[in-house]
Amino acid sequence: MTNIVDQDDHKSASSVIDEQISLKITYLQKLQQAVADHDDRQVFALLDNQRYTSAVLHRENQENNISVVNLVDNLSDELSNFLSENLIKYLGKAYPFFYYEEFQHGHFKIYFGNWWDRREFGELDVLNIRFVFDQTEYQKLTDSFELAKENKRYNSGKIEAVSKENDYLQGLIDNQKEREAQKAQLQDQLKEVTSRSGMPWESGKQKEARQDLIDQLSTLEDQDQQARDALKTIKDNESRVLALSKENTILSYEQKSILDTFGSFADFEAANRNLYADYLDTLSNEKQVADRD
Amino acid sequence: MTNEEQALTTTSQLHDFSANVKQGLLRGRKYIQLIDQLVDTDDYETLLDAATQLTVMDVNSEYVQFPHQYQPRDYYLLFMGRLLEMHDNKSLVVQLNQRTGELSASLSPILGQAKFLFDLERSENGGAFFVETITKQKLCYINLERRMLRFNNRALINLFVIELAQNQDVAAETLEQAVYPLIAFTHYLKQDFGFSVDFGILDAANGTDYYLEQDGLQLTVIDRLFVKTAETDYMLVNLVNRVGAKLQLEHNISLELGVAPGSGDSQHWSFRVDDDREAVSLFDLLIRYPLIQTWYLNNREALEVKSDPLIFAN
Repeated sequence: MTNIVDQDDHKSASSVIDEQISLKITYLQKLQQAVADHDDRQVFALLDNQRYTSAVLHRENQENNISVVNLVDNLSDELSNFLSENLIKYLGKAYPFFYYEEFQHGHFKIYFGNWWDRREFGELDVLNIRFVFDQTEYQKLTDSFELAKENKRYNSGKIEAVSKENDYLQGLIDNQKEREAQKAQLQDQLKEVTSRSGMPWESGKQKEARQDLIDQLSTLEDQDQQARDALKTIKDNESRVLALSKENTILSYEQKSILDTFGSFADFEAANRNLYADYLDTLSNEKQVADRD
Repeated sequence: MTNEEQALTTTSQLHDFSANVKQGLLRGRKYIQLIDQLVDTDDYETLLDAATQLTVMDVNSEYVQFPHQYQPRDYYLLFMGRLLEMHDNKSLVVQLNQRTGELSASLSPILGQAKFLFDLERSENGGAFFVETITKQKLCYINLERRMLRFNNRALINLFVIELAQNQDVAAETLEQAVYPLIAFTHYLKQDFGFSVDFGILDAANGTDYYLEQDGLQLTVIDRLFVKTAETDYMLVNLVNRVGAKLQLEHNISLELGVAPGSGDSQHWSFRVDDDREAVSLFDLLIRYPLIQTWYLNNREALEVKSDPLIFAN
């Protein structure tokens, strides 16, 4: 088989390649320069031109040039690490209650608060300038804001229930003596009923009375059993109450932090949605100021 | 035996007798000299020398007995009182019980609430414990010969926090004033004589680690404090460089509880108290803050602060 090459096609192919390579080179050069200048705004614009144009420049959607955007995919960890510095500085002011830990090159965990046993709250997606909140934790916070409207706290219902159980169990332990006395009395009655050989027409009533006494005794014995297990259950419940109260405390600090900074949970959520645009606006304003100086 | 020989024996016996009495009297003279020295000297070393000798001296001999004398334990108190007095501190009040002839001391801020004396340590180590007589708490151990003093944290808490603050409702400021002479005395021992001292929870220096007796603290103990802080204006924050927590109080005072750096898997935990003037100790916080006091006492088994284990073994 011979290779047949269409000369015209060949020519156009080479010009396409040339054009495409130039595009890539230009793109990479721009990116290289932006990184050299630490012009983070420009880096973000190059990484996702479509989003940048629409969110920051408020211009018609412009599709990302697929031929270039994938060029630096393998550098995403490096870029994320590079861009995190200024972003985290900015977030430190905008979200003073979030703390970040680079657990892996270019990957950041979010911690909510600096208080004892603060929660790990998700991850910071630097390249997309957004928080990826842990959904379970975020839901708890959302719920606790809802409950706050009714002056309730996240775990108060559970705490109340467990505390009530503990009060009941403590009561069982405290009433041990009285139960003993009651049981002795019931047993005497039972003996009496059993020994009394009544008239035949009385036997139905007698049976009933006997059964009643037996039931009462068995209720008391059940309580005895519960009382025997109660100490351990009370201890377990106390640790549960502690864990629930801790969560309440953490959630109340989280709510307070958000209210102190944003005024409301809705404003916090709105700020999260606009984070990309707000951050890049800030960067371009800073740049303008710097250029003017 | 000839008369001559008999006379000789009597003479030598009398000589022996006189020598023994003389020796006893000399010991007595030495004794009163030391007492004068203890009472009158203005020189620190001379004072310590007198106290050290008197605390181990037995002035009685077979031939000369002194029916009126102080007990060795009393010289510790007299020494303590004098050293403070030489530094113009008069808050240790030494009293003589006219009936028993025994000395005891009070601290002027808690005059009627506690009475102190020294109990001799009977082992060959010597030294003595400073003991509160009603509660029998051994607050500290002192050894004049070895020039050392160690506070007993457990006893300090039993007496000042539980007995005086909680049971007798003595005000925090009063108690802080009450321990001041103990701190001052210890400080002078260190400064004037180079004693090796351990202030224990009374130490107000910022970097002081107050180590816990137990290794490997259960974190739920810290959770309990955290939950309590929710009802206050104080926040319990995470330590940045090590496992542990820090309670930020007013006036830039903070209490830390964390794993001592470099303690590895064994996890030695310690408290630290930080303040701008290095004037606040763990003792002060336990006295001043009901939040900290209640938490400490409720979790005492886990949180008990260690004292010198060679002296205050459990």
